[in-house]
Amino acid sequence: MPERKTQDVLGREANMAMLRQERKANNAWNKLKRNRTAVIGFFIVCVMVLLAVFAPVLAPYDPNAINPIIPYKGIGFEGHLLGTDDLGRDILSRILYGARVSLVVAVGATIVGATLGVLIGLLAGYFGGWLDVVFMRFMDGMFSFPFILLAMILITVLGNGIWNVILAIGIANVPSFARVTRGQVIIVKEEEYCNACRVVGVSDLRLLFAHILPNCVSQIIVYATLRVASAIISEASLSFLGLGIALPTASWGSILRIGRDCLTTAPHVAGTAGLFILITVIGFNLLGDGIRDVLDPKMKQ
Amino acid sequence: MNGNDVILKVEGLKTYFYQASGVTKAVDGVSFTLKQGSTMGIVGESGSGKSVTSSSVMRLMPSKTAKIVEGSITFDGVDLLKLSNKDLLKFRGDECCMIFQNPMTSLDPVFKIGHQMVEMIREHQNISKKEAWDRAVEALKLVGIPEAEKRMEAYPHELSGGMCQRVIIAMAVCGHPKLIIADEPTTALDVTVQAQVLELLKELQDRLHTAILLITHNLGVVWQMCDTVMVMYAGNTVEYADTKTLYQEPMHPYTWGLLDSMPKLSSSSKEALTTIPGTPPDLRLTGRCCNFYNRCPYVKDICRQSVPPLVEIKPGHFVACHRQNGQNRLIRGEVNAHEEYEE
Amino acid sequence: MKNTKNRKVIMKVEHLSKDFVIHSKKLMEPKKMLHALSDVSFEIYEGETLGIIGESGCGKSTLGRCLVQLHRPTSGTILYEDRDLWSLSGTEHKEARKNIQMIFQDPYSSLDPRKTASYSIAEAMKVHNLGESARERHQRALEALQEVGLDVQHMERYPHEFSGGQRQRVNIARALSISPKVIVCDEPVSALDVSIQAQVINLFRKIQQERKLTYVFISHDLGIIKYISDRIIIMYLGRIVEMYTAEGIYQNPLHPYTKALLSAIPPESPFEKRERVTLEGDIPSPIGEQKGCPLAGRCPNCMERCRQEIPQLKDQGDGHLTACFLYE
Repeated sequence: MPERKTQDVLGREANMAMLRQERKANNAWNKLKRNRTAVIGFFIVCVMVLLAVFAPVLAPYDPNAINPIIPYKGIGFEGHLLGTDDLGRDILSRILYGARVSLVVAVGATIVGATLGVLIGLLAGYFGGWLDVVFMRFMDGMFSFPFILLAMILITVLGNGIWNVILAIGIANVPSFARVTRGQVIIVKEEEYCNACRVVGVSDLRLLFAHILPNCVSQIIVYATLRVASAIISEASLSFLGLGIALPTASWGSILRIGRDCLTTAPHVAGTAGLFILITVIGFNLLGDGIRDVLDPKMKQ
Repeated sequence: MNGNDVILKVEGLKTYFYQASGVTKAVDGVSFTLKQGSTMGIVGESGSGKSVTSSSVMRLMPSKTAKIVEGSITFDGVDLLKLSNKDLLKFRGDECCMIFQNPMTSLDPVFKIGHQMVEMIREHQNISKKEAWDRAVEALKLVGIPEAEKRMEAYPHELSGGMCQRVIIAMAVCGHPKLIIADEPTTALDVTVQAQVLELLKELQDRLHTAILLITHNLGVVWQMCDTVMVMYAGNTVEYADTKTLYQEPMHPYTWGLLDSMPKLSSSSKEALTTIPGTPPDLRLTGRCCNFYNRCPYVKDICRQSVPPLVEIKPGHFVACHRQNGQNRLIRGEVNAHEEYEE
Repeated sequence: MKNTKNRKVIMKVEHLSKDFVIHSKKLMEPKKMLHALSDVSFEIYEGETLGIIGESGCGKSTLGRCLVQLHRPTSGTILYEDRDLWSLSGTEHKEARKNIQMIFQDPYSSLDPRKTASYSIAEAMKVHNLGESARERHQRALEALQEVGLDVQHMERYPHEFSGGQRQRVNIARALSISPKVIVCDEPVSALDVSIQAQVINLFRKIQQERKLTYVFISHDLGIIKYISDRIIIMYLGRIVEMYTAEGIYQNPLHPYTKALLSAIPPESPFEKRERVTLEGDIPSPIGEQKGCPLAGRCPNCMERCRQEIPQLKDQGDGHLTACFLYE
């Protein structure tokens, strides 16, 4: 008998080792590292976040310091790496500080939109019936309302502080999150394990938040990453229209707005800010696509 | 036609899947011969390689990951592994047809039955649409579908599972193939419908003299349909014999376990069922010794050391077991406790 | 057979019907009804195994789901220990629910893919306030896993890290952890391989003997049903057509459908030649109104009366119930 026993134990250890190896290989983080799209996206996003965080250290000038002697100077002018704008402010410094505003607004708005939207989507999708009808018709109503108009109304009512901009873009994001979540919930709630939980006696709320939500979360994360990219653009458009963060606080959209007036004489003002928006949006989109490939292997095939 | 002609001969077939997590030895040494007009069954559990064997014969494998590493497949004197893609297409439609497990998914849901059948026929035979249509109706009548003309205008979802499987069989026999590969053709069907479909297959075989390669996990279906049977385990042929011999004198311990673990309708015994302990091995780790060693009650040192060869113990009866090809053959059900733990 | 009259009835189903509304694709077309179960009545005795056989669409799964209250019956009652399940108050209802558990067919989808085995089992205990602390529940989850033949190394595994047989064991452990009285098994082994099937069936029997459980065992595999059941119900198109002891039904099937079903089973040896009772065609659709015996269109013994009236279950002596005009 003893030989047999040792063999079993050996078998078990080998089993556990293989399991660990498999878990390691299938770990979402490790898979993400192997996905080139995701790595590039992640790198871009990281660089942007670092630039924003260390803006006070990196910025060569005070972003709001006006120097009327040197307006509209081009790239590389006397220590102004990216030139200056209409009031002679250093564009590089403004872009670095603007990254803070743009990223905080974009991420904040996505969090606001996701929180409300996911909650609405969960309830509407799970309980169905009149709750679903009321919520989703309301969402449809918001969908059909032009986003800019919605944001304009909100900001006019609330005033244009950074929190109000976050709130405005966030609320405009709610319907799409609600829709994505509801779709997922409707699929997941019919899965057999939800029935199994009901039979065991798990309550509706527990089922919803302990089982259904975690099984929808990967889709929501993917969607949220992609939404950050569009929130950056939303913020830029609001600032461009003068509805965003109040001047003189720098944001990418407000730099663009100044650049608009001198597009022919000093194209670098709008160009550099536009380039940063472009790269960041691409970064978030690549990251989102990468995460989707990792979390949802079916999509890839 | 001589009834003893060998139509399909597979020798030492090895099909591996190359994946990021390792090399899966899905089929790791399979040999058999199939005679014209006869039926051979391949039985085994899921993951035993029975479906991969059949798709290897059809060369229907994902070309990126799967590779036939070794062995030969000869069909009617032609080496299938050397065929060009064009010849392969011809082979698949004209000489050999396949029936899949799920009849609902093997028909295209957006086209009518008639359209699909005509397309298929015209793919392989150079005839007009009208002729192809007539032939399709004829085939549907052959497989016992009532109101065949009307059914030609139906979409797959309008038919029941049994009807769909009949349509697929009709499509398969349209080209008068020499070989039909049926991969679990009745698993998705109900018992009474299964009986109808199996009877239909047998009837068609008698009429058209085709060979059938029947893949199943249901031994009852094997007893009913097959002349010879191959038992597969973890990618290997473990036993290959004609059906009656396999039932009466099975030789491999795995076959014994398989036969014993099915509850018998005729017996009223309420004793615990005989089981094969444990689970099948991971196919990435097989191939160094007998794959069954960790579940076999008769295991000995040699079983852990080398892969047992497939040996013809009696004419036509092949077994791959170290303990069955020497002088001291095992006796079914007698485990010698002294022997068992001998190291 | 054992005298069933002296045994305690644990569950009783009376005139149970379940209809599903089919929403029509076309506008303004009247709604259609799918009659999944029509007028089903039977009793379940404590400690027995009641087998339910039928082909797909016969309503056996719907019946199982009604028993565990996943579906609300359209009409009829289900009594558990003489009390109507759907009219119980909150705590009593929860208690009754705890006592009737279910094992599902597909072991791959009946466990939450994002929860470990120990979480799934401990959760079941938690919702029923069993166990003092998370630690105790964890310990009891381990005991439940050991009871079904798994061990400590399986505690923190996710469902995809188990094989099919092991997952079904985890499902069984979860059901057992809250000590139910009745377990409804809906095709619990049909997704498993033959050698694993035998292991799981043996496990079911072992647990039943140890815990004095009552099983309702739903399957389409007649060999397994006969092996595990004491009594068998045969269903066709939402109705019970025959009900008797397992031995009795196999030795002396009365209803033409039962005869056909038994003769359609593949043989047990290559030498066996069975006389076939064949049924023509397919199972009719359960949608729309029914007239006459559900088997009328396929039955070899169909009479004029069969097309007009629906036969009722009648005792043919010794508790052998069948619903067929041939025996009246």
